Amino acid sequence: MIARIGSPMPYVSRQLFGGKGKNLLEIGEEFSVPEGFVVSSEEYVKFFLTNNLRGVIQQILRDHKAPEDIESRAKEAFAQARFPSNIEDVLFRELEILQEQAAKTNDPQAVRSSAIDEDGSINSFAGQHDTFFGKLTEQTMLEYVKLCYASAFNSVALKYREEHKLGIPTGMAVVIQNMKEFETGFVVYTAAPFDYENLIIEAAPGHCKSVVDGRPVDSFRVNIRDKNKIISKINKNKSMQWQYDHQEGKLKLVPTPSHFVDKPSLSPEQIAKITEVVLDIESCYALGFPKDRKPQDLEGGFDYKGKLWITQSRDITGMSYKAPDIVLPKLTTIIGQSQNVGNTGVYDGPIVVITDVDPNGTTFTLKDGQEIRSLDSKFTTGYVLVTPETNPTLDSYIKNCKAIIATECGIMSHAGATARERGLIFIGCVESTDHKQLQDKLDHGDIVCVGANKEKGVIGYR
Amino acid sequence: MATSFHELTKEEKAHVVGKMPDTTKLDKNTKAELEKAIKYPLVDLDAKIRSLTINMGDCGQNHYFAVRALNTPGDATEYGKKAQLVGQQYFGLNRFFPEFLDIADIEVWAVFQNGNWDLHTWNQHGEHLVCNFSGTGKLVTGYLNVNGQYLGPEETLSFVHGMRRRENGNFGRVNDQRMLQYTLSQLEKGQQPLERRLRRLQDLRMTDSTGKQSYILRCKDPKYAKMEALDRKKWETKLRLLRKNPDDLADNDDVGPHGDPKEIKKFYFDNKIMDLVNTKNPSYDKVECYVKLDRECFTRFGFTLSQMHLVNWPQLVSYAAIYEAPPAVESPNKSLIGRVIQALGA
Repeated sequence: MIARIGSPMPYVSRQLFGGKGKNLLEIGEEFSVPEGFVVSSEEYVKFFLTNNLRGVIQQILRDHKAPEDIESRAKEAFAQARFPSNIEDVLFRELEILQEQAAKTNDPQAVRSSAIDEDGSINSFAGQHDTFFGKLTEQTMLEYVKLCYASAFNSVALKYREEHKLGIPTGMAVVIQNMKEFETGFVVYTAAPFDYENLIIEAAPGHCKSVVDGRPVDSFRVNIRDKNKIISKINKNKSMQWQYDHQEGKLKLVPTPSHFVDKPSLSPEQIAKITEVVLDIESCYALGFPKDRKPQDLEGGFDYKGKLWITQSRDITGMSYKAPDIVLPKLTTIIGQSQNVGNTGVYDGPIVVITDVDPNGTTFTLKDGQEIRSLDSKFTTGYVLVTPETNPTLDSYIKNCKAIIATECGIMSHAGATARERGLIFIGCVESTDHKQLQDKLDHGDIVCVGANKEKGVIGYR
Repeated sequence: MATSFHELTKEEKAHVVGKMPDTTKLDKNTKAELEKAIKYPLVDLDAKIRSLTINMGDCGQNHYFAVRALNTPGDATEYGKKAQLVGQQYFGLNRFFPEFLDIADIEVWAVFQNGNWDLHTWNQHGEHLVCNFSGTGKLVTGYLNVNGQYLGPEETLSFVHGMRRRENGNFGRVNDQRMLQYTLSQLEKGQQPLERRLRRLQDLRMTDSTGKQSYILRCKDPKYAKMEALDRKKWETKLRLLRKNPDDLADNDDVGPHGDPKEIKKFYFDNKIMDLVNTKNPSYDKVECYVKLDRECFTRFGFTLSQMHLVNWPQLVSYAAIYEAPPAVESPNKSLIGRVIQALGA
């Protein structure tokens, strides 16, 4: 079954359209979601059965134990498989309609995985399945859809499944959409952590990947009762942004336009517009609103004509709104602090410093040449991780981590999501007290104390 | 005087109870939301319909237009003491609400504990049979059937979220009813409407894939709004003949918005429906074919094969996830039920 985003959908099933697809079909009926369609998990099942992939995958699982090996073998197997011709015909027809709409604005397309167990209120699988961008042809579309299917067996996703006891993947839908080019991308939580009174927006120039993957962001805290009451925290170092490169056909890190580097990425009018739309969306999900809230995690952006688009909506994963009152520890030296707090708590332990994260891949550079894969075996009782930003692969390396201190990204980044789902203390957008890089001041193995309550998080020495 | 009310047969009750989801596996929040979602049609929507229809006729005569009870609320002892099975149907909703443009019928089946539900008869003829309550009680389990389609807990929530979204948004305005009316009149006159308008009609399930009027569109027809309870019961009594033998339905029988009996019979014979629904151990392919025909049957005639023949196969489809079904080459003839049992390790 293929469902068009924006078509009337009185009800939608996650089993059929996956988490992302379901949510986009739902909100696409009433709100501005880039046009597109969702290929349901029925097509995945037919593809799977027609190509006898069950036997192939079982053999791979028997022969290989390392998730990385399973991933590469699964990708090969899916790439060799063929779609039944009737499914191909429907996909080609839908692509034609989509490209007719895209022709007016020269939009490329995005092909996004939508696993049937992702984007729920418990398991987000944030960033662990694949997304592809480009001007699609019939053949590249089929190729990308197959790669999305295969991404159910991505090593990071398999590790996540193993750890969350989710079993093997049973279905994958795929979302194919026109991709809008954003002047500013944003992520919104319709209720800030521990605080139903305020919603929180993190925004950065360019695609919303800039926010999610942890580029420096501006943060806006908006009171939902008095929408003029906004606390803004503007990052003056937004030097690079993610943007679609038409020639290379992919998202690329490029310099931020000068007028955005140290200025707010959203105007007050844009903040008001976002607030209005996201609260409308939340009210549909909150049965009994306003008494009962159902905070939503939304992504979107403003295109170059100033139109607001929503590209993702889901329940906030693993967020706690009932945190105990925690008294912050008394520290002799505070070396960094922030109000951007995820989970609360106090922890004393050794520090691990990531100095650089490869934005295009999966590598982390650790201070003193440490290897990220060895952290869990080296620090068996716990450690504090200090990192500028993250990518989704981080989650699979930090089983023993107790606290994450992010110096650039905030709670809406992958680092924030990882911390929430794992119940780790999280302090984002941490500023060093003397404006020197926190990473430079700390050394591997230093024993530090981290404390976070509802209002504030600190890191320092006892 | 006859009424629109049919008491459930033993088999029908078993069919309804057999479809009830196991809510004990739901987390606390989801269960609380489901309770609100199931009560949404029974309480909120019900009140809206009653306020809209209050001036359409005397008390006790108006609710044939949109609401009727499906059973006498009562005995659901399989769910514990003081548990009641409650069934109510809302039909032809797209006549009243722009936000329900693509929704003809909603059927609610729910089990409530410690509530006080009864079958309400408001006039001397025993008409206006709706389920009323002096206290709803606590939801034990329940499901909705929307446009003949069974909705599990998650889809039920999706449906109610969608209704809230449409109520607050501009769904009714976007789907300008006059535009739809104009497009339909063009079709009737044999003129060719714009492609995007035809697509819109199909998106709203108002026409089937061949461009013919669907049950959902026929439900909007004002002539059916004027039908009385007697007719509604009469149509259904006729349709129930299909359960034993489609030939028992006469070509000139009146089945109201369900369409033309000749076409219904043709659909049955062309697709060998009786053979299909009487299959004891359906293969995956048969279930797939059945699901497709079930949807087509609703779109064209306003009833589903599941409801008509008390078949619960579609529930099995969700179990037929790829890892649970062995590859077709290994056991092409093995039944789906067998595959499910095998997959579950039983």
